[in-house]
Amino acid sequence: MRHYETIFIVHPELTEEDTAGVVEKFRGILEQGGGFLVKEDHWGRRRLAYTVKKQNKGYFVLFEYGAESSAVDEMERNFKIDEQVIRYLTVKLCDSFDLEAMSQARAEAEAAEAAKAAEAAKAAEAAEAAQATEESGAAKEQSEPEKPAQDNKPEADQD
Amino acid sequence: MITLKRRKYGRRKVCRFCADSSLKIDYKEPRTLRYYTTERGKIIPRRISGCCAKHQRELTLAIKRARHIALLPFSAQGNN
Repeated sequence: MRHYETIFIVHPELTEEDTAGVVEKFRGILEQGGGFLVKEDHWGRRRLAYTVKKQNKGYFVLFEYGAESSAVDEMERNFKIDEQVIRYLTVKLCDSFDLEAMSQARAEAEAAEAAKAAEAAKAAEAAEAAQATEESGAAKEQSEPEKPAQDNKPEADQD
Repeated sequence: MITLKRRKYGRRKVCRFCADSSLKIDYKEPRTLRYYTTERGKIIPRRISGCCAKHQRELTLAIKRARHIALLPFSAQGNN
């Protein structure tokens, strides 16, 4: 098994359901061939740098997975057949794929995402609470240390 | 004299990716790659970008991949 990454661009004029259907189809093909998905990332509709099949936009989807080369070949063959996929690119990330570590990583990522969602909900609550205190004029100390931190960032970029 | 000489030849550029190991070359990040292409979309040569050979090679590959997946242009301004 090898570690791969595939980006493909789905036709932008499809409805959300159809797009999801296309993604579902290729996920199915991959898993049927014995592939193991680590990450599925939807970048959403983005502008293309140049026109591809008369389209200026495209829906980007990223798969990161471990699979045998035969599964990748099968998926790429289907990319070529499917008219809804306007571009694809597969990159080999690593020659070996540690299934256990990756399944653990996926579980961790899912847990982290759940935690993030929970945190975001908390942060929203906290922000509301902070706004209430700011209105009373007690939040001056909090806003001051933030400014120098912002100044440092661009300097680091220039180096 | 030394300072004069230096001014004449310009400051020796340092590879950004060697100087800052947190910077990664990734074909999925067109923003960082844009810095190493001209406005027309050509890859900036090593003698100007100041990259070391290793990173310039990685950059070139990343830019070419980004071009294929339409994140970067092959050529900009009316030619595409």
